[in-house]
Amino acid sequence: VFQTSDDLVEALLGAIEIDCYDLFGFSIVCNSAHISLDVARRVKAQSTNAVILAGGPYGTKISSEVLCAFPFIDGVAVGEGEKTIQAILSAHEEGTRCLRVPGVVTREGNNCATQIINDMDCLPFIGNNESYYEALDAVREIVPEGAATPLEATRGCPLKCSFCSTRQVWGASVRRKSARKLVDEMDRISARNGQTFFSLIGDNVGVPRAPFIRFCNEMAQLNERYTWGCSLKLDKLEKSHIPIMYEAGCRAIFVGLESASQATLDQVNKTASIRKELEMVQACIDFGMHVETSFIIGFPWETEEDIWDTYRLHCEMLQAGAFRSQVSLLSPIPGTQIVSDSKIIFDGLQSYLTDDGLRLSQGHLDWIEEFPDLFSHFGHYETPNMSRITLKALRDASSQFASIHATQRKKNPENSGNHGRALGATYPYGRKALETSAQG
Amino acid sequence: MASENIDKMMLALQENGVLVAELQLVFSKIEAAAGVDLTKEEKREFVAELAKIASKEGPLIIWL
Repeated sequence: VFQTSDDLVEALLGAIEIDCYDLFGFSIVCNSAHISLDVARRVKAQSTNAVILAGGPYGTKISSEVLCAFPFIDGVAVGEGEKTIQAILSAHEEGTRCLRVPGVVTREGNNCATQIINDMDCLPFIGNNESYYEALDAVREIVPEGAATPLEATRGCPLKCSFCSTRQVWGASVRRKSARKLVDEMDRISARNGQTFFSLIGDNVGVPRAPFIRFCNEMAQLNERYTWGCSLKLDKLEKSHIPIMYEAGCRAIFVGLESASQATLDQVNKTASIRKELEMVQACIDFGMHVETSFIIGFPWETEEDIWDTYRLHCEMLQAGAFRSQVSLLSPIPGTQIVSDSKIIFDGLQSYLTDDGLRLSQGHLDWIEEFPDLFSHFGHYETPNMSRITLKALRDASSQFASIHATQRKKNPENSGNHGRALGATYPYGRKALETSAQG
Repeated sequence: MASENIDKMMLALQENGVLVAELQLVFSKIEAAAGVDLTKEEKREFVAELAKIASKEGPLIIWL
């Protein structure tokens, strides 16, 4: 059991045979960026001639800043990495300067034309890697029931939500695996571990609508035994699409509603109609889908009334039959548009993204202080119209309320979940949002 | 296994998310007044201390 972030760094270093390699690649996501970067620093210190490459979502938008801040990083692979890492390894084998390939940014100059995979059916099967099954087993030890098996389905998102980094990493063009490819992968995984419930990974599997519905129709033809869940933006679909999705095997959907305030959704470029989303959420619940909703509080312009409205809508979702719901404090992800627009405060209040239960070591705290733009996700936005007390209380109360529902559902499955209440029946919020949007 | 009355209390919370938020708000105000942000373990310790000093008829405070 680790107590501090340093403990984790030490453990990871202990698992690397540093002397056996001369090129190290780190796939970095922001919530563990301080850990990955510190491991990279220590590897470079031990093996000064080794090439240290940073990759993953974290560095894509802030590659130059990462190179400037951390001299032990030799290059940053931006965007998708499959083609880039092949080019790097080929160059390395040939003895040429391996980081001078497309997709890698170095101090000598940008070479950041990202290497996009257009045909996702060409990607190698993830189940060829034994560590995939080891990771699945590890998750099932923690979540023994109902854990879906993750399987990548799409990349890219055309939306421009200012708080999100998906488009920056994967681009605006949505690419998807074919139904045949996915069913084949499901067959192979299921033959290995018997799992039949999958989570189709992609930030917005349902857009654009026409290819998604085509995909569902193909799945309905090919898929006889698997069920799946995915992340969707429901206001781009119609109620008539729900049976098509169900027929294809879809049983669970994750919907990022984000806010009860249409004005906030507009301000973050969400291009969503909260009224339409709520109608569709209710229709999906009524159809028998497991619906998980997600909200964000802590936008810089929000008032206390705004976040109470979002909190009430979260509660209402659970009481209207949502399987789960969550409210997160807005995390300023480095490089996203909203970060450049707003002031960030580092006072210990932060989103779940950085809540890994480890106490930050002094060295990592020093990094956060020295490079606030690279570690903005450890802070929260200044909210002049809202007290920190309320922000913190509603962040914590939302997870408590969800836990109470989950606990009660386990204790009394007959009398939980969908209480038969339409949105707006318990709190005025659902009704209020519907009426406000209709007037708007 | 919780007693019948405690089950009823939990049911009341399940029925009314605003009560949960108001409960949490009280704790956040105490934290702010004390100038601290408690860890999960410290929250448990604080609730245990409160329980010790609660009078027989006093409110039972649950901090999940």
